[in-house]
Amino acid sequence: MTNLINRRTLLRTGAGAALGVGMFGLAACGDDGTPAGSPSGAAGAPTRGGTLRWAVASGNATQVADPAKASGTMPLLIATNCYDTLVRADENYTLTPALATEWQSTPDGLTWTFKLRQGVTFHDGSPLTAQDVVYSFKRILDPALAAVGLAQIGPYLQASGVAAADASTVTLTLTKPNAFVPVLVSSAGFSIVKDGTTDFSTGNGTGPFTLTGFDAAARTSLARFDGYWQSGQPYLDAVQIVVIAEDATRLQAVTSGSQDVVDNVTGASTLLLKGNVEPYMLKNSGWVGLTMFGDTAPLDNQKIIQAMQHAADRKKIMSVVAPGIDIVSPDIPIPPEDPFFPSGLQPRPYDPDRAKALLKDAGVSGTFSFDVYAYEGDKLDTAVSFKSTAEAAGINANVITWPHATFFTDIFKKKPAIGISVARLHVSQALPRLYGKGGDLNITHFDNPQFDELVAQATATTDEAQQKKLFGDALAMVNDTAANVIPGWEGQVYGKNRKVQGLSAANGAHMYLAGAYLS
Amino acid sequence: MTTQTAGQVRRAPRRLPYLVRQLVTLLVTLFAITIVIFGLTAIAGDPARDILGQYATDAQVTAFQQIHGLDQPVVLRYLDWLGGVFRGDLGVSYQSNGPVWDVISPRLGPSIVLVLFSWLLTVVVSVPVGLLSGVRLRGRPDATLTVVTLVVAAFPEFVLGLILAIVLGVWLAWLPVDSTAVSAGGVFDNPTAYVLPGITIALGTIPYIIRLMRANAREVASETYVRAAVLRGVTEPSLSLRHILPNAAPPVVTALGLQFAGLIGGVVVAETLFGFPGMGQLLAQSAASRDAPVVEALALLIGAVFVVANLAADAIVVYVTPKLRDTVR
Repeated sequence: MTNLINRRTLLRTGAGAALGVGMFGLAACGDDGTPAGSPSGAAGAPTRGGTLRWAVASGNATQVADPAKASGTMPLLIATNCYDTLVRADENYTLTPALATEWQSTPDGLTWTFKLRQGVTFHDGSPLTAQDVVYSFKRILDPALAAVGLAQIGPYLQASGVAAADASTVTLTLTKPNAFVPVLVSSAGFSIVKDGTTDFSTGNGTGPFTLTGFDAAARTSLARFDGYWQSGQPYLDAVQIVVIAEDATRLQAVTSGSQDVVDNVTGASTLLLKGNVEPYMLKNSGWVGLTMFGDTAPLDNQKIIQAMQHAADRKKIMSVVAPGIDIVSPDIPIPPEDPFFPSGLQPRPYDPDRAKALLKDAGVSGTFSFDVYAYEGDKLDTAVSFKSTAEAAGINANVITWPHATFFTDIFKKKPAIGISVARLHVSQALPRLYGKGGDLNITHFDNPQFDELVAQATATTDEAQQKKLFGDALAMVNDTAANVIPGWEGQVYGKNRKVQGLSAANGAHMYLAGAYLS
Repeated sequence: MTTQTAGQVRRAPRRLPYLVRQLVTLLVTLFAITIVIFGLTAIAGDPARDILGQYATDAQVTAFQQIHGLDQPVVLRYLDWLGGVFRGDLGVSYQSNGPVWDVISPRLGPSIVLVLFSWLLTVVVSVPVGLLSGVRLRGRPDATLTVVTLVVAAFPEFVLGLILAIVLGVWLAWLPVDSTAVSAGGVFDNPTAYVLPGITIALGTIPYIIRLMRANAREVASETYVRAAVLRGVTEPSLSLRHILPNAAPPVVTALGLQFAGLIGGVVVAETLFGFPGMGQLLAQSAASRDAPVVEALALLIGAVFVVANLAADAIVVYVTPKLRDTVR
């Protein structure tokens, strides 16, 4: 399907004035991503009742209702709303209790203890016990399941390390220290299921909604769970989730009122959200950029990479990729708002002359040409807009559009240079996975034992000042020497009817509806 | 003196009856279709890594290939699949790990209703308009109609669909913009959800049928027997309906038969555009997620509908045309 209202066409057709207006509208959003100002007409107390109609962009029969395998939008909505995690994290990884009321580690960061909330029941009425948590974690650690959380926790925990100390206490004994285990287990992939569950079609979790219908390619229905542990919640009677793949139709559906919320509003389409409809966004949901194999000639030349970094007009690129978000970044994988962002670190300025000089130093005569592969969407936008700003520096990025369907088979990790977007990860995950030795996402072939040591130390220590210093040093190494250009951050934008209040989004495409209501 | 009787002169060489011959053609065509479909999905390569995701280990990829027989030679896989098709077993979806039929069956009902609705819409709109235009309209009204049909024909379906959605769904708010309501309740519980995709699909064929009907009607209208009828004092509507329509209809019937199958192409576009939970959307989703067994089953089904619709159109033409009814056996 072709997106008729495509961000590039819209920009090309000169919607400059509209753009300004849109940015102003977006600027009225609070830092936490929620629209600023009081919830209109709500006067504090949320209204009870009603059905929320939600349209998602992607759905297909691939997606399963098992929260441990939830990666598509519909399964993630099920995981975050039919189930609970031990801990909940907000958009900057500040933790709040969920199924666990307290958690602590031994000073060496090797043993973690989670104390479970009392009086929590599953939808089938059975009480939550430590055994349920043990079962849930052991499932995730079983390689045969291919759970989404395995890559995150696998390096630190084995199934034998999961134990119930008593009926309401769980201990995790790690294989190497990690001070960020609570952050890890806040992700929806670590949702707690009932001991022994193998059939997930009923969505028997402890979450605010029960699963009353699941067809990932067409429609999922949720209904209020009256026995939810958070008193008074949820406010909605039901949630109906449907799939509308076509961007333009999805946008019209929320504009015309046939849906209450739509997801995946991209690029300039955000500017079309007006009148009864407003954007709800989670900024810093992921970074976009170009990654290169830093050990493959000619890209193994540090000066060429630096030339590319100076040849990227970050502001301009991000105005195309994520208009209205406007977050430019140094070449590191955490956003400026992150508590671990090294203070004072600035993005490299756009300087084509400097880039030319660097290329000359690197022994390049004339234009430096290289192939960049990307698939349609923000990745392609990033590659194409990089190309246009890098031309002035004598860099010719030859952008090759590749079909999404075979990108991860034929291109990803196989071709040296790609345009990519990567969902935001906590610094303790982002650094080892993206730049560590053996990291599953090390697509820059970054290899630095000193860096690995810094990251391991930072992850192991429970001293916050020490964490910030060590991660800061590691991030500086990435900024100085990793073979990637990270111009900035995009956001996850939803279009919602003004009457919809109380949405709560978090990193990893998580959306919590317990507090949502129709005013 | 003649040695031949009249009967012997007329006897045609011994042949199978018409319908049987057509059925044999149908089976051969379907067989060819299976080869093409399977060949194309096989050329697309090993889907294991695309389906398991970028984090899958090599062991998981190997296990997937073994479970789905992807480690077997293509010819063996084809024969295995074909054997399954004959037994009514369409295979196992790569994505849901369940039988393909379970994935397809809930989508069939709504799509069948949608196709029938748009086909009927095509007939009801284009036959009378084409006939009227061919017989009665001259000068400016005829030119206007021609321009309108050509303009509509020039637009791709997804553009027409979006225009309809904006005008009828957003501005006038008469109809729901998206057809997702179809998945709630039974097939007929949300009739309004069928209208926009139905019109969109029909608009893909209406201009063509109008043009064809108009051309044929005009040609027949100039025949001597029509002029004779006029001289006999036959007036409208009897002239159009009894003298022109039956003689102008055969090519249109064939075209409607062909278009019935052609509508399915429109179904893929319209269903994806409007979020209509039917076969077309499933086909697009399955192709995108590389679920070859589902794609193969749907392609075979569409191929079968195409061939059967063709056959039906041929048979109807034979039946309604006296000349052919006597000669074709």
